[in-house]
Amino acid sequence: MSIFMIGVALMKLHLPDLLAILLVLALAGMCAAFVFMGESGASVLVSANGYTYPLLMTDGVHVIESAGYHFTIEISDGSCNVTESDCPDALCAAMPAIRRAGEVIICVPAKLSLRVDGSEKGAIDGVAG
Amino acid sequence: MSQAKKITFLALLLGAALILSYVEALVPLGAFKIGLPNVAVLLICKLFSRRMGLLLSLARISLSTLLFGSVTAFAFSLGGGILAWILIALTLPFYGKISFIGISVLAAAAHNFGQTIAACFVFGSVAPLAMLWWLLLLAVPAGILTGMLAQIVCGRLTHLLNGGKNA
Repeated sequence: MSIFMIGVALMKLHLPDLLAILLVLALAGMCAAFVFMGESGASVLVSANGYTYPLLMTDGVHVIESAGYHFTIEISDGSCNVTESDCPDALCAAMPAIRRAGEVIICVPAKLSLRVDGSEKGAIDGVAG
Repeated sequence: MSQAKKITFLALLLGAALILSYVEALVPLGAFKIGLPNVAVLLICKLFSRRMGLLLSLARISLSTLLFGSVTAFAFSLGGGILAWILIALTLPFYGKISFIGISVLAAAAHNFGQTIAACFVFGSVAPLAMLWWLLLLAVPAGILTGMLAQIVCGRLTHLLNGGKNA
């Protein structure tokens, strides 16, 4: 019965519906292209507890604390991933690894964000400064 | 329709929207939601008025924040809820040409866009925009699902509103 109902509901798709779906898909594609066109990054900008600092993309494991939650961040082979988190959502640990400039991993409850920085020069300046 | 019947109906749908908020909170997608309560908002907009839809949306967001939300969740819901309502209000006059599915897909996309904008304000940076692409992608199946749900429920509610006995 319910499968039949779903079938009926699907049959009522009009052309504007398909256009609406295509529009959203196109927007998603544009956003994806914008993110994925960036070159691979040299460092990861970490924002935690209101401070922002860079982590160089060199292999290693870091433990970061933000708003009382702890995150294990693993950098290997030029990509950065959150492998462990004690925040209730743990969404950030489920997010895919980031490697290209502009890609982000965000944890909303802890207000933590990791963003790949594109400019190699800027990252090194950040460490020196 | 009598005033009492109208109030009862709105209250019932507000209750349904609250339950949907709760169900949605159980889906492990973090603070980003697929917008199930938009089914109730869409139905109110269609069966009553768009103004009532906005009222229901705001009441639902306030109540769900009080019951099981946080301040950040409130900002997210508000951003998503209001933008979704705007899209529903703009596309509903074309109902007939466009079905609930199309409206829901647009509303879900607007919902996720609004949440991302709210996240930008919460974080004070544009970093959340980088997640927009998969949120918009997610909006398509979510919108189709909520649209089909709205289509099924709308038929039954119309029957009920017109005094049907076996609905």
